[in-house]
Amino acid sequence: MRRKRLGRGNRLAALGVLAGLGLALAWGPAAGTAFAAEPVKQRQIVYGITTWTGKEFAGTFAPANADTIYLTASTRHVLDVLETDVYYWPITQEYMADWMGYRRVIPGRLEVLRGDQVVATLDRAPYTFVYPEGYMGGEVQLAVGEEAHEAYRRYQDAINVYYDQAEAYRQAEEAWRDRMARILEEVQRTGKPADPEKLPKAPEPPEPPRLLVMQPAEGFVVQLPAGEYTLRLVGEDGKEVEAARKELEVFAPRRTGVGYQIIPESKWTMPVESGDPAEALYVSSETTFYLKAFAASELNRYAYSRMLELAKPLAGSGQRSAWQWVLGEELGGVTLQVLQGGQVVATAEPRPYYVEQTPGYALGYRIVDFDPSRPEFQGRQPSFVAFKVQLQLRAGATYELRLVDAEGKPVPNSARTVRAVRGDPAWPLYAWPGVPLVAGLVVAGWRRRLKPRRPPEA
Amino acid sequence: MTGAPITRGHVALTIAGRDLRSHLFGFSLYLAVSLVLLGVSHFAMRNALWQVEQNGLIVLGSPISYPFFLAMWLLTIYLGLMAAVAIARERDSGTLEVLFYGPVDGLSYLAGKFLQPVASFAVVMLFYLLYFGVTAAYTNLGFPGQVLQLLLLSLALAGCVVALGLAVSALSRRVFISVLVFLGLMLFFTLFDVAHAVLMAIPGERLTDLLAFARMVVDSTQQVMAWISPVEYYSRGSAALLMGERSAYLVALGSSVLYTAVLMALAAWIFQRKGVRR
Repeated sequence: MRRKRLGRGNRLAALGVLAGLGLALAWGPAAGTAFAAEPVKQRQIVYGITTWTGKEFAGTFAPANADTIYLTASTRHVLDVLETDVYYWPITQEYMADWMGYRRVIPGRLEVLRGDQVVATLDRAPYTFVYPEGYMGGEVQLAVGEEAHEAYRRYQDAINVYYDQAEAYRQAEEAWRDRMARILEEVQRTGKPADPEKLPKAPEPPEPPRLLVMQPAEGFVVQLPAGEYTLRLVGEDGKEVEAARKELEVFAPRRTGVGYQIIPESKWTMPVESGDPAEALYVSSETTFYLKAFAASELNRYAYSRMLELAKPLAGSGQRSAWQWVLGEELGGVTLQVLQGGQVVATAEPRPYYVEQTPGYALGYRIVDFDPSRPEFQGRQPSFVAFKVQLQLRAGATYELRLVDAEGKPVPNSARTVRAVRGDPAWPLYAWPGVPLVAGLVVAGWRRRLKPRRPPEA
Repeated sequence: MTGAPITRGHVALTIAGRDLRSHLFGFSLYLAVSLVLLGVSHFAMRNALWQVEQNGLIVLGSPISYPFFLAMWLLTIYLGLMAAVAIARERDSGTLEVLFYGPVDGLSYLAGKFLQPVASFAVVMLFYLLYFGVTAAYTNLGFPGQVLQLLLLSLALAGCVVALGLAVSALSRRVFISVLVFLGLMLFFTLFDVAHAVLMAIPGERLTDLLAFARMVVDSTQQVMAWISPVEYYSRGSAALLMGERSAYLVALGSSVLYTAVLMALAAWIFQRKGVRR
């Protein structure tokens, strides 16, 4: 009897669960937003961080749970203390700031402490990024203070001049079209072709300015020698903003030198990098390649990763003992020398090159000299600018590459050895390990001969 | 008529010389060296050449450095294993007790057992130099710079591993246990080094929670391993050579010698406590 009652109860429970599931399935899609993974936001005081990577400025931020900020030594970085809504985004495993939703600047002065001693007190200063060759041009400069406003004014002036030129061009082009239309009408009416010498020349469109300057913003510009510091924000009331206290680790490179980006002619989209001066280039078939030279520094991988991606809790995890070479700014004013047996056999200057596809459907390309005066390169940009190296390679050949400055002095840590390897035939690689074996046989045989023979039994 | 007193050093040298003669006149050492070099040729040297062949152009530190280390490490394990077997075998067979009825004591015996493998290692180094010199010249992969300093580090590494083998051997009364413990330790050191290198090479974007955790554990453990594993002393020394840091190289070399001394002292203490009887 009891069992029967329980069975009925179970059936009721099962029906209830099924009904619930059915409801959930029916209601779920309609109320999709209710189940969507909208992240939970938390209002926090964070540090906005714009760091110099050695090549460019990169942005990240320090959420409340990131205790330490990492910056490279003796270079300028920009920090700011802000209040915003922070949420964790599990897909990319990082904290994100909803800058558009809420963003408030926390007023005050930033103090940098070493131990208990204040080593720097910083006020917010206007700053901006200047791209002399445009955003894609590669070079970027940080302008601070009045220099930032001045740079931005210069940029606006350039833009205004360009707009004026563009307007003048539009008017000139309109006048030219009118004139051409009248000539055409004249030709159609009289049937006499116009004299090409007397045709008006089309106006040239103006070149847009390459210079790009961002609108100045305000922040704390930090430049410190390597060491461990503490950051604290002192509010306008003279009291410390507790939530804005962070540790600051300023780290220096372990080694510096010259790094190369090496573009093999047969794989120009897959360049290889060499930062460590102890590295060498090993070649089997590649006789032509292109080199770009950069300032390189060897940085602690953990600190460098944390500097770039502080909002990612996993960034640099487990890499405190690892080091990595980072290529920085491209080097200018240098010449590449190719040496063989200590003698310079070739030199190269950086030149522009253009990669053109070979005609037809098959894949293929050619790397050719970029000559802007030639008609086929009109309106085009070079694919890259680099030193071209062409070697006469025979197996066993060894060369040395190095940079020299304008005075002909070798640039420290710029030398790299190029070795043409030989692996064919491979049998010697298997024959040489036999030498100890032969030596062992000889020794064993010799010892056997030295052993006194047992006298024959009587 | 009485002769000159027999010193500990004399006894140690006599034991080492006797063992060295037997080792060098035997065939097993040469066979082991040949097999190691054959493996290095096939797996490491050909692999380096194959990589260059496939890519047309690659950038590497020194393709010979790793095979050189591999060859040394394998030989060191072999000699360390011989050391690990030495005391346990002689104790097990009862010859150790007989030996100690003569003018032999624990220190001179251990010193002799230490000097022999290290001397064997020095002899084998000549074969290695010949092999790597010829191979580097033939393939043009280039011989690592500062060979002498590297050889010194290698000798120090051999000293560490042999001392470790002797400590294990002194501790054990059974050859089997001694071999098992020694090989287990060597395998652990090797695998740890490989795991550390593999985990460090994983790029950030491929890092899962689990891998990140594993990397943190391995990286933290590495701080301890840096003082326990003999390989770490060699790695530190060779890295210092690459960076041209003479003082760091000397510290690595000195630490290696200290490690050997500590292990030898430990072996002597254990040997003293365990005695020579079965």
